[in-house]
Amino acid sequence: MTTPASVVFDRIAYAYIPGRLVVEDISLQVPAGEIVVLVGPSGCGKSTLLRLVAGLLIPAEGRLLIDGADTSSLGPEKRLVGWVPQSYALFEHLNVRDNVAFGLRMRRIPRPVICRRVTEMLELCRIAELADRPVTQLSGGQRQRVAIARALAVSPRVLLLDEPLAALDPQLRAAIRADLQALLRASGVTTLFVTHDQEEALAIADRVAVLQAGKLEQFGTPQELWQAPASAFVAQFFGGAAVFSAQRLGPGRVRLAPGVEANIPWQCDGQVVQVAVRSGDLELLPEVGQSMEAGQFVPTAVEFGGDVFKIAGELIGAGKVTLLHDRPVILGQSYPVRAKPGRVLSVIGRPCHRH
Amino acid sequence: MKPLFPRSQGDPVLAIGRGFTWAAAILCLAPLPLLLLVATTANWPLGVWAGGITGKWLQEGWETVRPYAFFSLRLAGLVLGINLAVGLPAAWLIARRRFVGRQVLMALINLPLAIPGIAIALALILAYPAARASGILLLLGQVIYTLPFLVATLVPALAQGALLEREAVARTLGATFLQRLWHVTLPSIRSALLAALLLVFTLSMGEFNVSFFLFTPLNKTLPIELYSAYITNRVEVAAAMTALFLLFVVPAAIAIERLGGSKVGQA
Repeated sequence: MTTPASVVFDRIAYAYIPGRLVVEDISLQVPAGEIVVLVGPSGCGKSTLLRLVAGLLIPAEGRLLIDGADTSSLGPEKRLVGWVPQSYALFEHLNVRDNVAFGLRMRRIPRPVICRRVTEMLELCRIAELADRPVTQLSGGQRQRVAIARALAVSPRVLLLDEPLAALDPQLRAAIRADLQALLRASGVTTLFVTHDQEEALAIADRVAVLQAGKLEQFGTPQELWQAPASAFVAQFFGGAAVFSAQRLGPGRVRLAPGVEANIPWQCDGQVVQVAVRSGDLELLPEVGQSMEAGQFVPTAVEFGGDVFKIAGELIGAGKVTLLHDRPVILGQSYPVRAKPGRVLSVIGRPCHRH
Repeated sequence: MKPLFPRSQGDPVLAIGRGFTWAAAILCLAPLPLLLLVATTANWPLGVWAGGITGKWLQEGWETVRPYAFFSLRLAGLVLGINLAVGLPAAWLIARRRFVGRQVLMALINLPLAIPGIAIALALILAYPAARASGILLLLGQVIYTLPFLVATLVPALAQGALLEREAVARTLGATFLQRLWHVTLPSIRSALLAALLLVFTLSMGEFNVSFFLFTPLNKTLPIELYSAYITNRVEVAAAMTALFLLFVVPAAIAIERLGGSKVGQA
């Protein structure tokens, strides 16, 4: 198998219509052999980035390096980059085996080599028993595997997956996601994976690039994004955090709302810091507290989540938040609330990691 | 309580529509049995099967029709080939490329749809009087007349987003332009292409307007010969010849329908 290659975006910009950039000033480095997830809301330009790497689009500005070499003069036929579009784009007139063999046949590889390689790919993707089926008879998950096997068969230097799970039944998605991750690890190929689902991104990625409106918001490991979101957008996107400005009281301590104090990383300074408040960060107190200081929380909606109730409401003096509670609450009534004692809130836009 | 007329219970407009469809179908198909009756009657002016049932008119009709039928088949084959050679690249360009003059090209191809066949024929005769005797004008006239149908059928098939995506995947897998065309594009538009070619074939076989002005004694199509048969021959022979003519055209028409004829001609 070809050794995996690194991909470098160097100030990449692209416009479908001249003057209207869909991606702008994107710089990021994908280390060889890693799975990098490009995530962001629809229309943020993530699929465009994949097409740029595949060579189906040519950047308007900037350079794109694969394995350290500039790609500007290489057409898609020569890049050795596997692209799996969201529709999978299987060749409907061919069966599974011929779909997987397609790239090797086009490259005029000797027949016995093709045969061996295709069998290998069918086994890697666990579709060997489907080899002679027409692709029109496959389920969504099976089609996805055929598309990936077809892309991997030519030993690409980079694999590009565009929303590979979006077309699948939501109930199957988590299981297929785990399978897909195992498959990508087994093949060892550098992978760029596009999704709009934050949970999927955190689950599968070595590194995540968060895009919004064609710009790179943050690039880092899932832990970095979670613990030190670069912007309010990133914090809201991952885990649906509420973002508040909080008064810093001293090293590692902020006041979130009247009666609610919380921990932040020690290293963060400044008078006012922006913090991300996630559903696990606050808790309702059992009864109106004797000596304990507490804030006020007014529930506006309750969602039953099995083990816990997910409660959306207003943290008086701060804004809308969600929190988890083990019992249902009465909407519109005020409840005492505090930051969970052991928790440390994520601070936005500052490189002050906690350890 | 059971409804009195369960079938028309739903939508009265639909029921009326269904009625019209059947009426139209019967109106169109009624002449066919009549044709066969006339062709198999020994002496039609005296009544149905007057003088007994006979096959001699069909036989006589076949003798007369045969050379023209083969000429028409050959002509249709040539028209088909030229349509493919010109129409497929034109449809590909119109569907895939945004070039200056694309609208003009489309308008030029579609123009013959708006011009009567007589006008096309006369324009050709006036422009190239010397070419008439060779039969080239007849061929050219039929190509001009049939090309818009082929292009209009192929353009939507070639412009499908799913097909473009499959071709893009083939490209990343290393397929060259010709490999993509042969292994991805053509198989993907197979049914549209077949339907379009059959359409061109039936149009060419049955074409009268253009051919009537452009035929020569040596280059005479089957419909023109049918026309002269009705003018000069016994009605029984003409009927027999028409029945034989349908043998050439109807199978192709049915095949178009089965290949998704509802899509044919939409652009």
